Amino acid sequence: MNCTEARIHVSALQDGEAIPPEAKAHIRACDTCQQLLQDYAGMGAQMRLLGSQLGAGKVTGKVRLPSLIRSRPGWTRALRAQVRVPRFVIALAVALIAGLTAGLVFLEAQGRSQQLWFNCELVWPQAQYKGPIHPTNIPQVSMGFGPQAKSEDPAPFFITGPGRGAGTVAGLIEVRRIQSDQVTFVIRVRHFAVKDTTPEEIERTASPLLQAQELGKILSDVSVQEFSYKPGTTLKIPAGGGESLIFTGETGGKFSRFSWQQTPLQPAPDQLVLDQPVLVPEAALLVKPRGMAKISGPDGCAYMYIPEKGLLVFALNRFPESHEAAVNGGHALFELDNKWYYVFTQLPIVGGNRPKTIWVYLARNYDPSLSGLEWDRTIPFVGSAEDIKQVLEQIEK
Amino acid sequence: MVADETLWEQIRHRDRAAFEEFYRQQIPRLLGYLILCLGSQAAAEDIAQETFLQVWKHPDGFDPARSGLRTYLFTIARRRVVDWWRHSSLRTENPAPPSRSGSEARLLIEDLLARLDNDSRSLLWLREVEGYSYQELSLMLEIPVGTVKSRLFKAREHLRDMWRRR
Repeated sequence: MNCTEARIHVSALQDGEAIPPEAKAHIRACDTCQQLLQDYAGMGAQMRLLGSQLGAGKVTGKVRLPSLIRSRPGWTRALRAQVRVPRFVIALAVALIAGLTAGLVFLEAQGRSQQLWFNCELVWPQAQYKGPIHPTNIPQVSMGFGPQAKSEDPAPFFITGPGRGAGTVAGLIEVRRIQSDQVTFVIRVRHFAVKDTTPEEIERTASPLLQAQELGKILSDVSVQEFSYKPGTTLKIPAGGGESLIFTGETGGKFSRFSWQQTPLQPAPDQLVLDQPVLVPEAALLVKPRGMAKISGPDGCAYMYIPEKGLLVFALNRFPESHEAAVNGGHALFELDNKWYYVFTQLPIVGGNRPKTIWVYLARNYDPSLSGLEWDRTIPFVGSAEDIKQVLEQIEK
Repeated sequence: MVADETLWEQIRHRDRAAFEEFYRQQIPRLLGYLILCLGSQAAAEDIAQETFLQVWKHPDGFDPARSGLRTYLFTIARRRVVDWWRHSSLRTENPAPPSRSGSEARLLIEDLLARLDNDSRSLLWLREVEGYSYQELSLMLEIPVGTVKSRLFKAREHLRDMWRRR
């Protein structure tokens, strides 16, 4: 396949649609197509930014709901009036409604069977860091597999614990069959302690442009585990060295709005998720840290370190000096220092009713070395903490 | 979030609170789409009003087996936009972008979008900003999924050409 043939698939890839494996392989390896994908993504980002500003707060007095529904039309009065209806008409209506309802259920089931996706999450509980800010901790990953999962390459993943001592879990997962009540997948996974290899080496190998075969070589001596998984249940997957991963997943009929590599797990109403966030301050891309931050409950916070700018702290509830951020799906919009910022993420940021408000604070000139680790100040990161007070205390120091 | 079918049932049974919530959630996005399509705040508000009115007055036009309620709303809006283009004496193939202040990049994308033809602009917006899938766009525009794919590609190519020549 050449670039001309692949271009239309780049567009589909930007939209998160399944594309042929040969097109995927070409796009992965081709700088021209990668540039095209980046351009499409950049234009999309600007459009979404425009979209967030075009309608918001622009409703004048003309479009007002009360004027739409204030007056009841005459026919509603007729409906509310008592009318004598023969019994056979009622019986006929009931039969008709029952028939139509059955038809609707059938059509819906048929539609879903054609577009079934599987979203899963792998958590390494031992890697959960309990303290304030930590640059290297990514205790979970989310992944998505589409209807064409069978033709996809095995998907690589890696999970890093807090600091070198915890090591890294790396693996390959391949989903072979997706049904609403059962998903079949195979996985090869291994825990790498520091003595085996460094997290940097694993991370370098498992970079976003990773060829699955390379990680396959590293994991060649790891046995393949096959699972028939019931969506919605929790599965414990041994990772060697006494470590294990917690696997959860669900099937669904819809692909993420903004992602093309991963599909979303819908956060619960009390959760806040920053997955592979991209921060855009009005015009140009500012920072794109790798990783995912996820918190549950009202006391936690997620954070994003932006070199030369500071640390952005996000929380579900208002906290001192925080600003309001409007969240809708996988993007958040907020204003700091008279400038609009936009955050795009792979997953929806919050669950429950959307759009929703979260709260954000910028700790200017935050120094990552406050975490107690040596950290290159030019490298962004994301993370989360169970207690926002700990984070704010560390920032104050 | 209230499921579409539940919300639809509430609207069918004239539940004003449910309709108000639906309106409150959807009006900013719908208005953004309409402003982009029509290039006129006043026309956008007119079409938005007509669109919500149609949902309120004729909720039975929605088929939950076919699409989501939000998709239904945008489908109505899009049809009304097409009618507006056809019948309005003010119609123009490339509406002027609404004038407002903003960053250079935002003004640029606004300007470039205004240079696309109506169908391309509308399709690209529904995909990129509103996040509709190919399947949903196919239902909404009544065209095959393959056509959605190729039209989106052409729209992006055109936009990118202008974007790089700016």
